Amino acid sequence: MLIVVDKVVNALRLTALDERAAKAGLFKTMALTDARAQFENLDIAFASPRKDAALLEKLGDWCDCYTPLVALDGPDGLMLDITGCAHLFGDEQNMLKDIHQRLNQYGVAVRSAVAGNASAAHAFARHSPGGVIDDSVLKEKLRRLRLVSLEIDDVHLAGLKRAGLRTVGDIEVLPRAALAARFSAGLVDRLDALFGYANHPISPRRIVPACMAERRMVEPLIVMDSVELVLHALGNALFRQLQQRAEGAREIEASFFRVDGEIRRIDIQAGRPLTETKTLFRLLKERLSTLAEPLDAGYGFDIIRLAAVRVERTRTVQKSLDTNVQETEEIGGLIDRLSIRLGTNRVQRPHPVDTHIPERAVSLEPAIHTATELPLEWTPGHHPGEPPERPVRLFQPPEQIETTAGIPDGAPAQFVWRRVRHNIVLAEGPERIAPEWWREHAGALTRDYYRLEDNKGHRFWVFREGLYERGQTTPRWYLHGLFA
Amino acid sequence: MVTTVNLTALRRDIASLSERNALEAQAPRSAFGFGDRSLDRMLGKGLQRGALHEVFSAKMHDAGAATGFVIALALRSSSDQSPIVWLEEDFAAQEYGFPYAPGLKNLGLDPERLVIVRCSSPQDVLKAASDSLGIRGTGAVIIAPWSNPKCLDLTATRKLLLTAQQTGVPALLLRLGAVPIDNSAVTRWMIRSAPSQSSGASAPGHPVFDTTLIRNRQGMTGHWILQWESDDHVFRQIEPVSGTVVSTPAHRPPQTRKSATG
Repeated sequence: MLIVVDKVVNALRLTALDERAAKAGLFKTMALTDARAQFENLDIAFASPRKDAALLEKLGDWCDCYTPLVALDGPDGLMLDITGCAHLFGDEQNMLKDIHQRLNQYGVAVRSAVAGNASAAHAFARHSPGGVIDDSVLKEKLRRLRLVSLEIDDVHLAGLKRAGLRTVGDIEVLPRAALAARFSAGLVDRLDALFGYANHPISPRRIVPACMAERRMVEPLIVMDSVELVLHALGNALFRQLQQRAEGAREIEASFFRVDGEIRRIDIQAGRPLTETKTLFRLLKERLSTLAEPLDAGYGFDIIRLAAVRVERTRTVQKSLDTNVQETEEIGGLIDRLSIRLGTNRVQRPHPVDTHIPERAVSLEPAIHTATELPLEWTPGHHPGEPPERPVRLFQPPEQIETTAGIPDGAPAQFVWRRVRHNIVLAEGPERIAPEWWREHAGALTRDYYRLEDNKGHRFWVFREGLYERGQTTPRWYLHGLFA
Repeated sequence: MVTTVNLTALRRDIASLSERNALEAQAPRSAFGFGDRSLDRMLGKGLQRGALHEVFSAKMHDAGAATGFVIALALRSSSDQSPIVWLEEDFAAQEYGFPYAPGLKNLGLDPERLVIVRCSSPQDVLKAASDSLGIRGTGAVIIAPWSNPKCLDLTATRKLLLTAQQTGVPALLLRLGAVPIDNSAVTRWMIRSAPSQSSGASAPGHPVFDTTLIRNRQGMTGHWILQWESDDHVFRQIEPVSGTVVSTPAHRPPQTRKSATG
């Protein structure tokens, strides 16, 4: 007899038990010591809600092969919206049979029900033998359910039972206002949900793709070449659908369902809407070659699916006249390919940020995301005829230098950076940059920046952290950048 | 009413349009100059556009100058507003600082044109380089690996050169912390910083490069002191330091400067 125990209010209590244990008279919430007193040969396992949740998530992923709308239902249930999907398996009955059969193969015991609304399906799966409940008999069967299936507070349940009410049908005929006043509004809500008067939509775990194409294999596919062929056909089908809607895909997800229940998803993002299988394939190949864990067919894939997760309207462009458009298209393709190979955060475009702190004035954004907001101006702006105010290379973090200052509050006369001494002949400054007190910790100091040139012509950007008159200790100097 | 169409005029319009298109198609000129008349005359047609040009920083402290020179070459060789791809190996950025957009803007490069690709290995740099060079829409590709990676050999540079020649996209190899070895680069430059002409009040002036063309497959080599005019995107030759033009600021000892400012 297998029982699962967990610590509930400082006592070990049963949280789950197998069929044999249930038949022997053990029940949930029973104390472990009581169970031990009755039986000596108990297999005891400790509950692990985290592992349970992980398993449920995995099963949820797997259920994706039945419908894209899969939601978690409590800690031990899955809710599938199979509207428009059942005919793929013949009918609901066949679909349910298929789910049972395959889940049993994985060693999972299943209880299930199909009904016209989510709450009713939930109640039938948990509190009745289940099966497919036709809409014509739905209300009648609901009325015959016991009150437990309303899943309301024990107090209210006991109250209802004391009043001699036994089934859902008994209270369904009672006036709603009185029920809500005597028990709780929750009870009425539950009733309405069960009978489908109130609509409680399920919230699917994954984004529902805008459009998708999939193929179920009669025999699992193992050879990669044939996988590629299938992908090609799917790509064509997907883009045909998208073309009719005048849309292109910004993000495409390829899902590979393996026979043994493993699912591999590969995500492809593009900087501009994809409209062709050819371009998709180039990106897909790039992605496959960079996977840390290569796509493994194992015992074969039985379902392959391409889904356009994010779509965007496309404009049909005339190609020949405007060479400029074509050029941006080409550089867009390059950005996509490099982003997929090296990662989106390695292919970047600099964007200005409204701040005076030099290291924050640039934000490097993934080039794949097209900037929509109006760009800010770069600060400081460029003054025609003036020499550069900012270095071409910036050290992050700044490197500390040893300086010899001519006068305490002036530019250094010489400094040592990376063990080389530089004698300064030209200097400009200070450019005083105060810390942003609304963002920084209290210890941030004012910086005085100097542009320096040594006797060999090297140009540096250095700063002194802190002011002479305020600080007790001598301020430190840093090299922040190199000028051209 | 009958509308008359002047066929001849139409034909002429179309012809002029297509002619302009044809001109523009070739216009990714096959060569680019420096914008300095005497230097351009010396180099003949200028530097080949679709080719591999290699720029070395002479010493660690010249990294800024070498970077500036490469940006200037990129600006000279690319058409306005064409994208510039900058491939920077992480190690080079750690050692010499990361390319800083406001500073690049000061040199005349609009940061909006820039696509910065941060690569973790020299192999990544080379692979991304050959991809970027293969795109005709690219204005210029700046390739900045660190030191002398093994994979950057004769074969690799030859491949880059061939791709650049096919598409006409300039490949500018920025070599930081590296020593020249034999490869397929068409020109090879050694860059040092040079004293600038002070813009007044003892402030450093416009960027000045001490450039040595140590190898040129298509012509002469030489040594020039060049100043970059970031507003007009042209180089201007400056007399060597020993001449009379730049004298006092560069050689004035720090003591004199101090007394002058203090």
